[in-house]
Amino acid sequence: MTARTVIRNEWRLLMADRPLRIALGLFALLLVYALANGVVWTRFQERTVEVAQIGNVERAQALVRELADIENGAEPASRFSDPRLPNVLGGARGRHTAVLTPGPLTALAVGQSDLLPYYYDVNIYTNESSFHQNGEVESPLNLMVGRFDLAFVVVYLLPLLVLALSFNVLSEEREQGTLALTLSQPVSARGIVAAKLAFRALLVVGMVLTVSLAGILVAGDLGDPGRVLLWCAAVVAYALFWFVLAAWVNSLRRSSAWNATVLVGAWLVLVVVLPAAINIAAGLLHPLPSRVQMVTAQREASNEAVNQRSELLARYLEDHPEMAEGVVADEPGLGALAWAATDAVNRRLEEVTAEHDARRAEQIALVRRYRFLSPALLAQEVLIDAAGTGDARFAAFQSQVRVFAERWREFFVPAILASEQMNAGVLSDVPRFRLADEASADVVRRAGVPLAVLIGLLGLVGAGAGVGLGRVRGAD
Amino acid sequence: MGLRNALLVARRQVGAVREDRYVVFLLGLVIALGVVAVLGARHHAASEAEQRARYQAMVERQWVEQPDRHPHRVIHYGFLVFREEAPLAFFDPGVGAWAGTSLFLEGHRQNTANFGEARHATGMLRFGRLTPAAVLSLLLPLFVVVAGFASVSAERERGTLRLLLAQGATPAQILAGKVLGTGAVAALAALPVGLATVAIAGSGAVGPVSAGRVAGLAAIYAAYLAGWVLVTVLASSFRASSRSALALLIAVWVALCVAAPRLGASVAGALHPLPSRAEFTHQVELAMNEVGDSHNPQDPFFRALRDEYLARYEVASVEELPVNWGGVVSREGEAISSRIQEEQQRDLVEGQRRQDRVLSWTGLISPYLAARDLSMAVSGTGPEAVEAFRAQAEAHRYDIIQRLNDLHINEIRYENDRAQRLSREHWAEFPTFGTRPPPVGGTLAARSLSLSALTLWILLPLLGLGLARGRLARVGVERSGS
Repeated sequence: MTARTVIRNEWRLLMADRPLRIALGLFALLLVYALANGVVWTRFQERTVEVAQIGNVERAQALVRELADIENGAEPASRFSDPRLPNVLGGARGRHTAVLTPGPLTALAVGQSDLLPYYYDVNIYTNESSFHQNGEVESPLNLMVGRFDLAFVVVYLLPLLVLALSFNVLSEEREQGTLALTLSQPVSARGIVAAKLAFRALLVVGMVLTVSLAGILVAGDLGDPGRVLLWCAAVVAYALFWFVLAAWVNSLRRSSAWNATVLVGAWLVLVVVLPAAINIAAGLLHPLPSRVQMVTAQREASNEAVNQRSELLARYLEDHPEMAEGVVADEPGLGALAWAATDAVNRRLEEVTAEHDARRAEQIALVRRYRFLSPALLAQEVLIDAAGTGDARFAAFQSQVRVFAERWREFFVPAILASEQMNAGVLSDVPRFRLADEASADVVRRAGVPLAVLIGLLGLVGAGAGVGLGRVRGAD
Repeated sequence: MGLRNALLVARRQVGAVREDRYVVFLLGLVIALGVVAVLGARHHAASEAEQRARYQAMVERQWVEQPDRHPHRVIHYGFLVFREEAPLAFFDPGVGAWAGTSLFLEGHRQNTANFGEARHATGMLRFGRLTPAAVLSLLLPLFVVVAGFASVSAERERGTLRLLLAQGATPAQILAGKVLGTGAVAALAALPVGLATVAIAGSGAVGPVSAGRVAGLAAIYAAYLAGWVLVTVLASSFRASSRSALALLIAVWVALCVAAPRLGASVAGALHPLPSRAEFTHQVELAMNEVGDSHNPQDPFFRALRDEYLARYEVASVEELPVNWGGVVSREGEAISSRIQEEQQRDLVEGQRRQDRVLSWTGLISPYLAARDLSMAVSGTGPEAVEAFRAQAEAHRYDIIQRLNDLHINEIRYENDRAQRLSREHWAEFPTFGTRPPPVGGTLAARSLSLSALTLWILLPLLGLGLARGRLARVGVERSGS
């Protein structure tokens, strides 16, 4: 039997089966719909990011005009919003929005991008608590349900299609009595199953990859081959996992009905029950540190700070001699005093946050070990990491914003301490946020671990299937 | 006679399930998962509630222990409130993890609730959590399918269906018996979760739970699972083989419980898009800029207000007013800004509700969505509970800020305003915050769509069984004759 005969025969067989034809068509439809959904989401994020960037430019231009008017003798609208004051120019009025452009393959996997902030307003008052104040206004119900994107179709629905296509790949031959006949030819059961499954895998994986590549062409970035390859590798490995699982179950020489029940049970356990159970167990075994503790610590800090401003200023100037130039220590301005209090609160907050984040990182690391139990969790992780919508990319963005906020303060605070006024000339030197996006080599390295485990699982089940099929004889 | 026959068939069905080791094993598994889910959820809820109570008490103490202060300073000092989870959140946590848990209340602005649990967890949370509600609404239907897919078709395949008919049982009695038998097995599987839930709710460990809510939950899940039993027996009676009945039922389960929720949510988002946070803040800013700026003494609104006050008290300047003009400006400014922000917020919530309504319509297709919607409503963990917290916290904020402004107006002299302090005794006179959950009657009344969806979920399969009744004998004869 040549490969072409097998493929032609298999194609005829599949198309003769009406439910399967419907399932394949439905799957194709769902793939396209999921992609469209992802593209819409990417466009929405791109628009939001663009508006934020335009806002940055427009705010700066408005300030330049106002500063020029004041230089020409106009009165500032109010003494609280006089743009010459460094705490106004570097404060809310002159703020800069730092944005994270949508991940290169967001259209394929929305991932965490609808939950985690992708833009922050930075000004001199930006501190740790600012990072918790940017909740999107999305309906919590929609967040809970999650998005209908390609990653969802791949992780949840693709296995079911794979199982529908292959649960009886060998058992049916036996039930129809054709197995003995086939095996009397110079072919092995292993060879037959491999050929049949290879054809089905080509069909299913081909559909997913075609739609994925179309999505990347429409709304993504082909210039990032590392991510695209990672995505494709995860799809292939995950789909093959389910194919070889079906082959393994078939090699146990039970009835088609038994195969179907066991395989659907495996899907239910690996995709639905295990992840849900891990989430509840993780919460019990490794509870996250309390979030409310952080909030209350922040308030305590600000309480203390306000009452001892002059003391704090003295300490601040000692700690930051580079900022002290031009400050009259005996008679500090109100701005300097206020800044000292603000800074003390920020430092205290950083302490509390660092402690909180360290404990959280520890616990999340513990929880993440459990993902090795389920190929669905592994696949999901690789897929969203490849898409640039995983937790890691957002965490990296946040720490870059943290550094940027520090630069922003360094630019304005010396003038606040010295009670100096600023002019339009400084605006061109104000720091601008430049995203240093993760290199695809880093992503490949990070996602390589779960992908390797997934491939390892695939190999393990594949070996089991190979051994089992080797024992199949025509007389069974 | 009819009832006796039906009961006989039911007992036969239960016996068949008992002999199937696979189903018995699954029964044990479902029960074990359910009990683990209940205990885990209770533990989680209790520790969260304990922490929340501790920090709320701490925040209240800090408020009362403030030193002598200028009231406007207190307005900026603000107040922190925590969203209390409903007592039944341990059973169905609803949207709790996806909404903010703490809200900072201060003058001049409405903050949004922060520190939602999901933002501090990992992406794994997207797979959902094994809560008691998830066990009942996701896993139990599958168990019902496995326990009942062969109920009629196996009798037909073995030829015993014809025997039953020959012995005088009518098709209606056979179908009723199969429904009762499968239903009894389903009830057995659901009972431990239900009893554990009732025991925990009754013990008061999670706070006071009204019997009405527990009964409501029992009714919702009983109806939902009854629908699955009917659908399962229906599929078993009209499909030619057990195998195809099982395939069909699993496909139905995947479509209704896995695909439909996400499809519904995505359609809802496409039909009623919400703005991004940036857009929303921008809209609020624009609306605020259109009215008076209380910090600008030349603003026309505040100039008119000043003239009105001067005329009312028949004085020439604000310094001569018997009340503190600074406090009046602050109070009126707060009234305006609060009104505008509340209007914008209402628009936003209205948009979210429009999305939720689309999801309710999807409930007509997917009873899972309808049951989940009703379960959240009765448990007090739905989107409206989050919104109620926001609205109540905002009302509390407005009340406290305006009380402080009144103190500013009446207790602080205009002259040398900022240097004065108000005695700390005043702080103890302020009300404390407590979440009042929305009444269950109202939340259910707003969910007539989900209620009718759940009713249809029972009526349509019943109708189907009525129609299948006539075919039952024919299919049986055809099969055995072939």
